[in-house]
Amino acid sequence: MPDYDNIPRGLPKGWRGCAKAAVQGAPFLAQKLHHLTAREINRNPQVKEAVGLLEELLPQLQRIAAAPVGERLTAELELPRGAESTRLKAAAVQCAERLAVGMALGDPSTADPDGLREQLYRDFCLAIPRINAFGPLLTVGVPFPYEDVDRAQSALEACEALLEESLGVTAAQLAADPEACKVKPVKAPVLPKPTQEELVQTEVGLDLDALKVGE
Amino acid sequence: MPSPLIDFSRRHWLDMNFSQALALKESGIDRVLLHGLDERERDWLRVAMAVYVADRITLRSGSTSWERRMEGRSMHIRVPVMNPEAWGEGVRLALVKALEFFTGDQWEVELVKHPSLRSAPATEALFDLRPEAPFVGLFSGGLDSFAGSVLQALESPEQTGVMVTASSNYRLFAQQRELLEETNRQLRGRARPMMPIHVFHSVDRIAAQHLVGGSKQEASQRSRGFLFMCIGLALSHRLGVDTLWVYENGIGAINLPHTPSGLGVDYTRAMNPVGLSLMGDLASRYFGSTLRVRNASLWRTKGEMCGRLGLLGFGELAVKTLSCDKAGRRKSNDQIQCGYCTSCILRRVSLAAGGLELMDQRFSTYEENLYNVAADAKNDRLFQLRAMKAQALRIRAAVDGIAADPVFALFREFPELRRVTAAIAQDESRPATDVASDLVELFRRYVRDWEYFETMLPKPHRMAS
Repeated sequence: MPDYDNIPRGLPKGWRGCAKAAVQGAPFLAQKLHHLTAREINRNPQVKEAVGLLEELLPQLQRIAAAPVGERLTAELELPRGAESTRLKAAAVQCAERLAVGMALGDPSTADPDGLREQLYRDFCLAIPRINAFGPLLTVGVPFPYEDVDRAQSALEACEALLEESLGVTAAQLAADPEACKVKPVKAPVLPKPTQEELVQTEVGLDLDALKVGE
Repeated sequence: MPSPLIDFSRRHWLDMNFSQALALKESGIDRVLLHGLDERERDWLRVAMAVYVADRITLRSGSTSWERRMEGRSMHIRVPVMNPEAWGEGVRLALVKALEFFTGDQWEVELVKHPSLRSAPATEALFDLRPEAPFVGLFSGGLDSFAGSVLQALESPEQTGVMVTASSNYRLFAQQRELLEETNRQLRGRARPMMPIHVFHSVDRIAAQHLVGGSKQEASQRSRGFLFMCIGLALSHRLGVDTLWVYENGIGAINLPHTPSGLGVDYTRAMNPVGLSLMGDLASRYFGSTLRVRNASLWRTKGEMCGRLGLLGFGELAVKTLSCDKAGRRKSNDQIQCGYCTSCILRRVSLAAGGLELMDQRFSTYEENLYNVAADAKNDRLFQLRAMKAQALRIRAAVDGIAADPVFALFREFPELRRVTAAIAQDESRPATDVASDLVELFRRYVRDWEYFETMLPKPHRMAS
């Protein structure tokens, strides 16, 4: 996620307000989106496609991880046909590229090849609010240039309402205890089948069980 | 959602006299471009035109701009050509790869034997025009192509620049011609005059005639640069040169997203180094000889290009070019630029950084003058300014001091740069790490351009240092 710590002084009023709202909103929006992602995967064909693409790119990332460091920066990610034909798939490609950058330039979080899948999914989940994937409301989670603080604030409130409606929890509850409101996997999508070991649960509450192939 | 097959071999398309949609204008004489090219080059342009028409008549679905950005298209076209055998598996894959990069859509392209075209040799018209030691470049008439072509002409005074323009309306054509004539007057005694080849095409009109139910053409036009490059590559091949030059400042060519929500083809990739590399690969495979597309301005910021123009005495002409996204679309005075689109903003940043801001204020006309913009100006007029500032901030945070490793910080923020680095490293036969360091430097200089520009803005619109 972008760095929100340093809101520059001297910004126009609306911009500064927006940035502030983004700072306040980002942490729980990120948490919320993990859950929304799990939920959306179960019913959104575009998400299914994107997750399928993540699975296709994963072996290539593992190959890059195994390559000498000097070759990783230019190692080609061979994209399948139509790899960027929806925004979510383009986001998946971007996440894979980011991971490849990390591997090439010595990001310690990419040092463990076995953790690549988790890294990839986590980055993809975080990308969803960033790319505006499920609607303009969610852009409040990033320093998007909304023109005034009121609009940003109302968007934030609408997000909270959406959250409550979708998950039956308040933003405050979620912020306090993300584990308290796990989404129950509904119907599993058709995806390449991960092993039980691969179905890890991330620290912020993303339930990768939701990605599980049907019974 | 898959789009229905667009079959250009059907009668109603062939009746459009599709093969004559491009006309060459040189010295006031109209020649049919396709008659000056050989069969292979004509087929190449038929495919390029078909791609562009298909792109324009296939609307991206969704009723809001957000929905349209959400879904891609699945395009399927069938194009009649003289020689389908020349489009083997490798060529078609390279074509699809390039199209998918430029448009973000999924493409399927079928090539079939044209039912009625007969073989005809190329006329010598074009070849007769061939100057000695030419370099061939694309000239849109904007500030980048003007600056880049002038600088290349002055740096290579023993060569003649052949400048290819392409336009679909006469006003733009007239502007491009006038600008090249004036440029040649100022180059006199310092470099060889540039030779224009004006290509006037009616592909937009053809697309308009095939829209269903009077709907509008698809506005994103992500294949427009592809068509322009195909025209330039066909002419390069005809003139026997192995490089087509383009002139887009490095920042504009790489065109990183302005906001974190920007993604894929939200921002044009027309001059992206990855795309240029894919075009070179495609053209080389198709023509069977090495052809490359190279960007002479890749390692310059637009501000640096403007600065050099000013020192060389081309400043006044530079500010008379048009950059605006809306220029040429206006019905009335098309010399007025909006002043608030991203192209206008980058232009003003660069003219200021290049020391040409006074000339800019004297000779250019902007609907919204950012140097006097009110703090409470309409939000849509400040939106792009804010978005570009947000990008400049992110770049500055990555490349200026705070991060221990600026390459890592910049690439982590903009992972698109990894593919760009690989393409440039291959094109320039350099180590990727050197290219990455040079990219950091380029963006660092761009941030300097921005910082200078901001000192010209009214206080409420400046950012903190």
